[in-house]
Amino acid sequence: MLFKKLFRLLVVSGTLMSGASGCAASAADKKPAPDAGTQAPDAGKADPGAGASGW
Amino acid sequence: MIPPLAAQAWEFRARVERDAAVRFARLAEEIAAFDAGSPVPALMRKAAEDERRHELLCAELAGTSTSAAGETRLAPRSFGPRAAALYDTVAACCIAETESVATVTSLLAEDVGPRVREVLHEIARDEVVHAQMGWAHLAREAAAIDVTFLSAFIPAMLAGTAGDLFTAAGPEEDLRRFGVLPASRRREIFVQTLREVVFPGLEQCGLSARPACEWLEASLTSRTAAGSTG
Repeated sequence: MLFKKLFRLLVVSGTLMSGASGCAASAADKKPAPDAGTQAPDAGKADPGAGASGW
Repeated sequence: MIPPLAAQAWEFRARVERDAAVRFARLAEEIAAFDAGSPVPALMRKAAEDERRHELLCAELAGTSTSAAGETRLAPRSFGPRAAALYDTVAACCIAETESVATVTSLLAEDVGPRVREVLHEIARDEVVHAQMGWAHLAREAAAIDVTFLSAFIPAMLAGTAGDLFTAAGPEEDLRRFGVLPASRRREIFVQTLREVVFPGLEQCGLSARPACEWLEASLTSRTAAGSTG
């Protein structure tokens, strides 16, 4: 129950705060992200980045 | 007197808050540079102030002083500014801050000491907004550009947030009164938050959660294979 509430509080409310009309539309309808440098099939492996430490 | 293990946990949290303050201040300017109509930069600036205050609160409980921040960029070096800002925001807010809210909320359900409870309450109130602003930025970007490239990078974000949660035994001492959960409980919260909050949230914004699910299952399997419990 706690986690369902967290989903609504964080994800749903956050999405509403965005002012965006909807985020799950077809990727084909959107501009590409040309500066992501991820066209290679091994994207996410050679230089995967890092994560933020959590509590 | 706070036990040494609890003091270490609060000292680590002070460093997490310190780095978050620097990261949010930077992201506020980066996002404002390409999305002038976004509400997120103002939230990020306020969050940077919050995190500086949280750092002091955590340091107070640890009985230590604060220190200078290290490198706060998380995205791969090959990323340009917009993709890097999205990567950092998802890693810091949609994952780390969302996990923090779940942890702090769980701690508040425990029999914690009065000063610890005051600190947790103050932090919890702010961390909710810090997580929301990440989901807000992801939703804005998902409506404007193709964000599906990010799916392959979620495992690296998760590994960074998890730290040694799946690879080390971790302390099981009952330090809940001092605001520290046993490692096995921290793992439970981490996993359930991913499955019920983070992964559905990513899918809602058009990302595939499959690489992240595979990372999680592999982490749990390797832990089981090593004979660990909890």
